[in-house]
Amino acid sequence: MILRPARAVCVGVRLVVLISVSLGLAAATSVPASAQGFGRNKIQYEGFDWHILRTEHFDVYYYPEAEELAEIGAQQAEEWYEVLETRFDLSLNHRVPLIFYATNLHFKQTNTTPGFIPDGVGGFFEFLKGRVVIPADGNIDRFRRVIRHELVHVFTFNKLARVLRDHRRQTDQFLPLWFTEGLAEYWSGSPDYQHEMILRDAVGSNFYVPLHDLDRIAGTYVMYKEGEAFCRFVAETYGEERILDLIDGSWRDANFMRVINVVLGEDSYDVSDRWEAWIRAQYAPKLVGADVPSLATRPLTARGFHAKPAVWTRPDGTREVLFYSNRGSYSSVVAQPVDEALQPAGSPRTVIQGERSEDFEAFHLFESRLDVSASGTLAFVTKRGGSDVVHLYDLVNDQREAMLGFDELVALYSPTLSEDGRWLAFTGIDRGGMADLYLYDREEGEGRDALRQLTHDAFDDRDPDFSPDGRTLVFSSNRTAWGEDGARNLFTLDLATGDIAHVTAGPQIDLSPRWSPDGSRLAFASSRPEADGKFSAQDLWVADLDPEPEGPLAATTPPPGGGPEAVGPAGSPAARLYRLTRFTSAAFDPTWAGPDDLVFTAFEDFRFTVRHIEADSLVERAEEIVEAGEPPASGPWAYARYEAAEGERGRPYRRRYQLDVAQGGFATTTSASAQAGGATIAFSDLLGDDQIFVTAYSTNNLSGGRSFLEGLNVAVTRIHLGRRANYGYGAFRLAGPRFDRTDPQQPSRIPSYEETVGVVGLVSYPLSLFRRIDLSTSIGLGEKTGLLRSNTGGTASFDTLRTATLANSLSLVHDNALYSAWGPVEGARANLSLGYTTDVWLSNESYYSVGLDARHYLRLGPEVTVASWGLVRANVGRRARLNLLGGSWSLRGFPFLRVRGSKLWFTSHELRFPVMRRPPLYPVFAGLRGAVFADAAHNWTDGYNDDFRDPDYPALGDGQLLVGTTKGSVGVGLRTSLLGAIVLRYDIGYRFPDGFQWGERQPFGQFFFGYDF
Amino acid sequence: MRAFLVLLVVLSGCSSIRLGESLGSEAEGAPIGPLERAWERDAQGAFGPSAPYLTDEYVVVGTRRGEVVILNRLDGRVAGTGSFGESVEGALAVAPSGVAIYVPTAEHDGGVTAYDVRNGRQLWRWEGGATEAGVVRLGGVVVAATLDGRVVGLDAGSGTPRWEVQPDTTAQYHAAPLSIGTEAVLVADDRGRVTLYEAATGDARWTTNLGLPVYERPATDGSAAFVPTTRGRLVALDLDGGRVRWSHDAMGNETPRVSAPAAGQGAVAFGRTDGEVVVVDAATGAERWTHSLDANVSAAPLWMGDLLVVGTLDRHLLGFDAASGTVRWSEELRGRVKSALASADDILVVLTEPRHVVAFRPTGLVAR
Repeated sequence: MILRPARAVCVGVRLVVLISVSLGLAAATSVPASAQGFGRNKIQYEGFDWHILRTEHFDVYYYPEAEELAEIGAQQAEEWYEVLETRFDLSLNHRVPLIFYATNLHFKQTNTTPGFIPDGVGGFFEFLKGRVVIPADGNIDRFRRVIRHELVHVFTFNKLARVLRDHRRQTDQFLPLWFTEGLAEYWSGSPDYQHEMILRDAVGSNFYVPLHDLDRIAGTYVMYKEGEAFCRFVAETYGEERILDLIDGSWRDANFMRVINVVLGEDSYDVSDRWEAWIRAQYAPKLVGADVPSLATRPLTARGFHAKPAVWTRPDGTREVLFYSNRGSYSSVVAQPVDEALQPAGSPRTVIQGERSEDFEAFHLFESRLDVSASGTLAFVTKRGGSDVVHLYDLVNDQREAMLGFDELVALYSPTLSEDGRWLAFTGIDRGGMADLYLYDREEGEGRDALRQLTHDAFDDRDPDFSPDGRTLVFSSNRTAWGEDGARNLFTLDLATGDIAHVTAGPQIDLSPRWSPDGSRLAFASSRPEADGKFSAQDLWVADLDPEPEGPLAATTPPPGGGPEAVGPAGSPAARLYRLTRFTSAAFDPTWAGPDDLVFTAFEDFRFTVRHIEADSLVERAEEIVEAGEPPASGPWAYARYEAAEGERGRPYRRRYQLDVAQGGFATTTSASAQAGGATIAFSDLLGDDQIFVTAYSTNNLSGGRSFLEGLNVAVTRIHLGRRANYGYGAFRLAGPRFDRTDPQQPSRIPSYEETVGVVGLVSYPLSLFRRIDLSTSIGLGEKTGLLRSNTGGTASFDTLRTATLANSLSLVHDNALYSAWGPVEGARANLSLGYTTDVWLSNESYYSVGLDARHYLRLGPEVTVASWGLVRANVGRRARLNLLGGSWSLRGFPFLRVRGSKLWFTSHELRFPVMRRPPLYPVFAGLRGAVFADAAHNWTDGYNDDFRDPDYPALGDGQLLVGTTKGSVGVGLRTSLLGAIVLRYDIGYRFPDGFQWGERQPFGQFFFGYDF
Repeated sequence: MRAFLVLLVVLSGCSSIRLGESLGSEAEGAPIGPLERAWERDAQGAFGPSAPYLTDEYVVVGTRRGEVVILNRLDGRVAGTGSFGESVEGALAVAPSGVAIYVPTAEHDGGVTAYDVRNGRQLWRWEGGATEAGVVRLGGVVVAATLDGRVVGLDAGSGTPRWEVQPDTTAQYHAAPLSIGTEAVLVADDRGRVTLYEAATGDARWTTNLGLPVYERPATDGSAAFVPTTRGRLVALDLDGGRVRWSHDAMGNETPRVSAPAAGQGAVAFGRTDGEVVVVDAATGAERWTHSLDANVSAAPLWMGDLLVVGTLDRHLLGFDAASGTVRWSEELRGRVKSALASADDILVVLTEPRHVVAFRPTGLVAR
């Protein structure tokens, strides 16, 4: 994955936003109404002790707990550097920083990108500083593959930059994302079983996207795999060298399709057709005779994402299938009642609503299974703060029994309960990034011996399941001799002796085993290498652990193509394996629903659904029956580790600031005093924990007789993001002509000249992902010259006002809203703020500020939302500043920021719905949506209502007062998203200047851009 | 005033080669080390893989900016600059008289331009398509190999095609043509087809299919052609019939690209992208010595007496003892070396990234 500058600066509510606010605060000495921030919090739970391992070409950043991981990663990076040096015909003349995190949960805390990192991101290359950032999370194979993938990006980026510079082309020209990601996949290793799954499904479901439309699926998993397939197609059809030629030839045209024309010597449409034919020729034969899951099995769910099923029977005998679901926008655990035939019997109910509260911050939807004990205890994992916890939930009484977290473990996956509910086993990732099996004794409770580590190595042990007698765990692992090449087999672990034994053996991928209720069989998913080297579909298999003797079988387990020699020592697996399905795409996570039935997740048409299949009848007519394979004779293997020279390992990290241009935009202020334009230079250290912003711009009107320096604005701010509590401080000088609409004593449109010098301090403490406290304080010495009123109102006169303003504000922010490309669609957000501003010198001003801004989003359907907004603000005291309303963001139909009052309330309600998903010029205009709205507000200013008039108000054409009245608007609007990035909005309706008297309505039309509230 | 400004703009944007004399004759021979840096010049444009062209007076280089830059060989001063298209990627040629240069251009609607350096006039222009590989002149014919797989013999006087062949519509020419004697030209495409053509008629004397892509210019010692491939193999072909005399393969899992080779000292020297510098016997292909470097070697090495000079992608120039393979001399450069080296009489010329021409002379000959 690549983070481009546009993405590197796009998201994340951080202290940097507060800087903008505070610079405004310092100047305005008030809480600006529009500056109340929302957003979730990216929290640094860990204080990582960063060290650097220097290799020949890389600086590897790691923390001591993950030293082994760093050495494995460093070795892989050096090995792949040599490979890529040849493939790209390029040597890098700079050292590449590799930043390794032990787990995904640590990775999510990185400050190398301001954005939030979702679960599926395996790593990224960010090319402002050329950083490669990768987590391990227990799967060292995947970790090494991601290293290779990201190094391809490093080489691609440097090669492309060289080519463009050589030919004097703009270096901001990029290759298409589908090509760079596809190349990174292609040159990072052979296609894995998931690659085959996606392509089989794309061909089988006929959603294969042609070359010229790949931009439409930008960033999707399908795009990665189609891009990989394209590179393979080019290599096999035109020659491997032509891939590099595509980069070498990128100077020829900014349109990559024209580059393809020249480099491949064919029209790109012909290339696309050939490519599609090439793909179909490979996969269509594999689909002959294969079953489509939606036709061959019965559904329990049909729409949306549903996965990881578990089945239990209520005390009254009714059965439920539990699974992860995103029926709403938030992920949840859902229980679907089923009848005896496992058909849905009633509506599903939400058992656990995720992603809205701290305890259920996020599920690991693709990696962690659910389990239910016979007594009805549901075990599942959620992210909670900086680590995972296991929840034990009583399904009978609908209440949580326990929430278990372990100091030594960061991430947890796939908990399983013994039949009696006493023992809990799961996969845990420690602070070193290694995945092992753990056993927890619930009776021991908080005791020191409650948690036992069952495996202790770098192998990736996943998805344990208790045998019915509770003595044995079965699990999937790469601790097989074929594991060095990516294979996974099934193993049992005897809990009494700790002995580990093969259940299956071979070069296949065996996953997610489940014991049958009587303990005689295992259901699991498996993908196996076929004769052409590709992996088969991931199908459902059953292992008969105590097979009857039979004659010779139709097939035997590989190893095809060599591999470790199989030897059959005593105790070797004697299981017989039955392939139950031959699907077009893939099946996951089978679980028993009684002795003869399986419930599983099916992948088809790029959807995940939960389905049911009768296992017994399929065993009798199995697609394939093979022996489980013999355990290999070869001994255990280990990941190669980099041997650093003396003095090259373990150097403590020291901050060195580097220019970070892309973040320059963050520090420009947006408050009423802020100026468009101006230069901001940002510096940050390599890990992004420390950031320094220097902003300078001139606002002065030189023709007004003031010098350049008199209008020079300078702000220097340093913020620290390396700890949970973010803090910052800075100094500023703001000077120049200014229209201050919040100043009750500046009624004129004639600007005053103002100069303020001061310092600012900021602290932001996140309570959780969804909630934080923001605190800011500033003191500024100001001098303002212009037409000003006295404190009691009256006629304005030319005057100079000197202040020494101390401004403090405290905010409590909550935000769990879900966003679409148009704005929030579900959830709620609120901001409660308190402030006190005083002139410590001459007491020219002294007032309190109180504000509550609450917004709620009710989702009526997948694309229909009712949005409600309530806002109350009051500034009370001497020379209290005015709050502002108006414009398309708040009070529609009234001019932008022209409705003013020291006190106000405002409410808005809006029904949002789709109009056209693919309007003309799609994807330039990515959809068309509609809105019906009603806004209302009342604003007033004690002592000013009678004589305070907005000088612009005549622009409304009616000359009425905007103060002291209840006003509002109703109407409809259309929204479209320009390139999926900028929302354009147009509203029409009637406004009501004083009360909602229909006879006094005035029509209006208003264009604006920006997200819906 | 306005007219003056317009004139100024026109003049400042106008560049042409007008030497008022010929380039002189092609320089031969090579300086003997040790060497030291004589001068360095910014050519205002990056370089393709081909070597600069040396005459007894000048150094001629083509750039990816589409220009040909002529530098005074003695001190590196720019004698002339001409703009010919978007990119001069491949080898250019100079008429035996030194009067004309033949410039290949690599853009899609490129071709070959003949240019008179004495009076700054274009003699002719053939717009037959992207010519990334380069051109050679033999007798009265300029032979060009194009990106869309054609080999064309152009009349050196008029630019009119005398003959044209396209043996494979899917193949492309990236490797510069190699003149064999005065009458034949060797071309190799990215499908591995190597053909020796009569320069005058375009008749093929022989064709050998290596089955491996050729992206770099072959070399010859007069009896054999040494053809580098992108898949780790260097193949020696008998010039009389095209029979494979021997081949040399790289070992290892990742097959490296082989640089353009250099023939000399009864041996063939080449580098590889895996950092190996290899010298083999020209007659048998037996390895004389190898040397492993930390960085990729993409550029053709150069024999200079008993010295083998190699440029690397980690910005180094190294001089190896031709007999033993030990490093006798090395120099750190401003940028990577991706273009073939050239030497004559008293000068070694190296083209480095991003766009610098660096000249070396034997110690003592450099003006202090």
